[in-house]
Amino acid sequence: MIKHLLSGGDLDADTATEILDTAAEMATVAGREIKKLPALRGRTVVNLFYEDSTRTRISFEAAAKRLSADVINFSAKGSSVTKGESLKDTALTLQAMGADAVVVRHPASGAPHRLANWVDGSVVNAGDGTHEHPTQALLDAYTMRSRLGRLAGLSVAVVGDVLHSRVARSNVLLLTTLGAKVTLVGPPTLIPVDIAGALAPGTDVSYDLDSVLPNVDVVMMLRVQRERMNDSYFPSAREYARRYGLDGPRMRRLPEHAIVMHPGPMNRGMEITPEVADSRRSTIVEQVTNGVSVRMAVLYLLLGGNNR
Amino acid sequence: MTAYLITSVSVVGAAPTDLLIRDGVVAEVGPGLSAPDATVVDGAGLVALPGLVDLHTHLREPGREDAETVESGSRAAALGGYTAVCAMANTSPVADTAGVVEQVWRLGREAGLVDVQPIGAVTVGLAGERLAELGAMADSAARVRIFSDDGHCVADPKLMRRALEYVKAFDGIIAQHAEEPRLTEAPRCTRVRSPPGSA
Amino acid sequence: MAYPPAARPSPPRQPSVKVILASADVQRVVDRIAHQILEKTQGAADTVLLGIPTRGTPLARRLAERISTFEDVVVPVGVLDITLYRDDLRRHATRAVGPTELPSGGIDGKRVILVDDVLFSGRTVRAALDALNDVGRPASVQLAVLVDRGHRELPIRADYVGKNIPTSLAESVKVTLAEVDGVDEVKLYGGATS
Repeated sequence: MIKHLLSGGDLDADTATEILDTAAEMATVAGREIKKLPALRGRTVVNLFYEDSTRTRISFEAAAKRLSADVINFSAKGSSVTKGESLKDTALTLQAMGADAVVVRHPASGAPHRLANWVDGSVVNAGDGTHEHPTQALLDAYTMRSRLGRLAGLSVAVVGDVLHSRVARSNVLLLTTLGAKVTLVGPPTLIPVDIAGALAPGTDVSYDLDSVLPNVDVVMMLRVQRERMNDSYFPSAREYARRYGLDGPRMRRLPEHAIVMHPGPMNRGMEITPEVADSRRSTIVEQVTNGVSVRMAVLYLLLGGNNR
Repeated sequence: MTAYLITSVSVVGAAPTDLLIRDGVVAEVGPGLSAPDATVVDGAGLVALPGLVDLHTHLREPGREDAETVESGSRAAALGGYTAVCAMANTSPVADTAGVVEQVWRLGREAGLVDVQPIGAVTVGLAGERLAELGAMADSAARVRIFSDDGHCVADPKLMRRALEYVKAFDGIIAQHAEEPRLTEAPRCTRVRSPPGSA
Repeated sequence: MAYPPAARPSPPRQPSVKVILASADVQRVVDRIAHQILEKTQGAADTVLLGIPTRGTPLARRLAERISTFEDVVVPVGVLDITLYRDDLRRHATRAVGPTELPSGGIDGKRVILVDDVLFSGRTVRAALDALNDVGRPASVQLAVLVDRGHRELPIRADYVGKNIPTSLAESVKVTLAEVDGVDEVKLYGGATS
C-alpha cells in the first residue's frame, strides 16, 4: 500500500481497485445503526485546511471518526498561519503533536507534496490549487462503478472549466488508469492546449458538447465560477449555459443508461439546470455519500496497518 | 433555365473569347460559341472576372440608414463586380449580439443582390473590455465566422488571446485592426478659434 | 483462520507434517457438529450461522447444508468479516477488508453461531464478538470450530468442537477445505524436528 495519497496518478489499477473495493465494505457501515469501526482507534488525523471547504472537511472528518480516529481540525483562518507561520513550521508542529495523517487542502499546487517531505505521517491531498483532488476522483470512480457496474471501457465526458479544475485532472489520471476513456469538453479558453499529452495520452478534447453527448456513459459537469467571466474566459453566463450547460434537451440526447455527475457545489442554471440536477440520472447526492466511504477506505488503507 | 452568351470578352485580361453561362455556371469557353436560347451580351472591350469579395465594408444599417443601407450598399457592390461583402460591426447598435447580425444578414437576403456576411464584434460595444457573445453569433442564422472590432483595436493582449482561443470552438477568425492606441495617441495641440468679429 | 499468538515461532528448518484429519474425516466431523447443533438448539430454530473468513465461510455453508439434510430446516448463513476489529492491525501491513454479509432476516433476537476453522488464542473470536456487537443484537452467541488446538489467551471456549488437537506452540495447524484450497484436510506442522 502507498504511504501518501497525493495524486490520482500515484495509484496503479490494483491499488485503486483495492480502495474502491474497501470503500464498498465501508459503505455498509453507513447503513448500520452503529456507524463506527474500531480500526483506527488511537490514531490521530489532522485536517489542515488553508481554504474554506466545509464539504470536503466534514467528509474527511466523518470518515476518520467512523474509523474511531481522533480528529483535529486545523483551519488556517484565525491560526498562527495568519500570523505568518510557514507551511513547513506548521508541518513540524503537527509532527510534534503526533499526527498519523495530515489531510491537507491548500491554494498552492504541490503544497501536499512538499508537506509529505516534512512529516512522518501519511499525507492525503484534499485539493491543492488547480492541481489535484485525488479522493474526489476516487469517489467519482466509485460512483460510476456502483451505477454502471464497471469502469473499464466507459466513456466519460468531463465538461466545463478544466483549466482551473483539480477534479478534472485527478479524474483524467485515475479513470485512464482504470481503463475508462475521458473526453474533456469546454470552451477552448478553459482547456489547456497540452492537457491530454501532459496527463494521459488518449484523452480527447472537444469544444462541442452536443456532438459528444450521444456517445458517453458518464457526463461530469464541473463547477464554473461566474468570476471567470470577468476574466473573459467566456463572454457571459448566458452564452456559457447555452453552449456548455447541461439542460433537459441535452440530457435527453444521452444514451438511456448514462449518468450525470457533479462534484458540487453546483451553479444551478449555469452549468446544470435543476431539471438535470434533480433527475434520476443525477448522482450528485450519492457522490456525497460515497465520498465518506471512499475517504474511510483511503484512511484505513494508509493508517490501518504497519506500512512504515 | 437561364443562359447568357457573353461574346468577345477578355477573361481576366486574356485575349477576347466567348463565354456561355447556364444556370449560373460557366458551361463553355471559346471563340465563336452559339446558343439560340441564350441572351447575348456584347462583351467587346470588357473584362470578365470572378465575383469579388469585399472583406471590409460598412453598410451602416442599423443606425445610420441616412448614410447607407444594406440594400444600397449591396447594390453598389453588385455594380462594382462584387458578389459577397462582409459588413463591419460598427453599426448602432453594434453588431455584438445574435439579434443584430441576424438582422443584417436578413436584410442582405431581402436585397438579394450579393451575399451579405455580417462580421461580429469581438467585444461588447467595440469597447475592448468584455468578450461579446461570439458563440451566439456563430450559432445564429447569420453563421458569423469573422469577428472584428473594426477600427477599434482589441488592445488588451489577454482579451485578444481569449478571443483567439474562444473562436477555435467554431473555426472563427479574428480580424484585427493592428494598432496599439496607446502608441498612436498623438499629443494634441488645441487652439480655440474666436468667433468672427472678435478682437 | 487461526489467530496467531503474539510470539509466533519461526518455522522449523525441517518441518514434519502429520495429517490429523483426512478428507473423509473432515466430512464426518462436520456431520457430527451439525448433529450437535441440532441437538443443543432443539432443531436449530431462530438460528443463524455466521462464518468467519476465510475458511469459516465454507464451513458455515456446509453445516447449514448438513442441517437441512438431516432435519429439513433452513438455517440462514452469513459472513462476518473481522478485519477492522482485529487487535493486531498495526503489527502487519494493512489487511484487505472482506465483505460482511448478514442473512436477509438479520441477526437481531437470533441465536448466532460463529463458525471458524481453528480455535487458538481466542483473539479472532474476541474480534468477531466486537464486530457482531456493531451489526446487531443477537439473543445469544455460540461458537463452532473444526479444530481446537488450545493455548487460549482470552477467556473464550467453543460450544461445538470437531476435533481437539493438543499442540505445542512450536507447531502449527493448517486446515484446508475443498472450496478454498481444493482438498479437505487438517495437518499438523512442525514441532518434533524443530
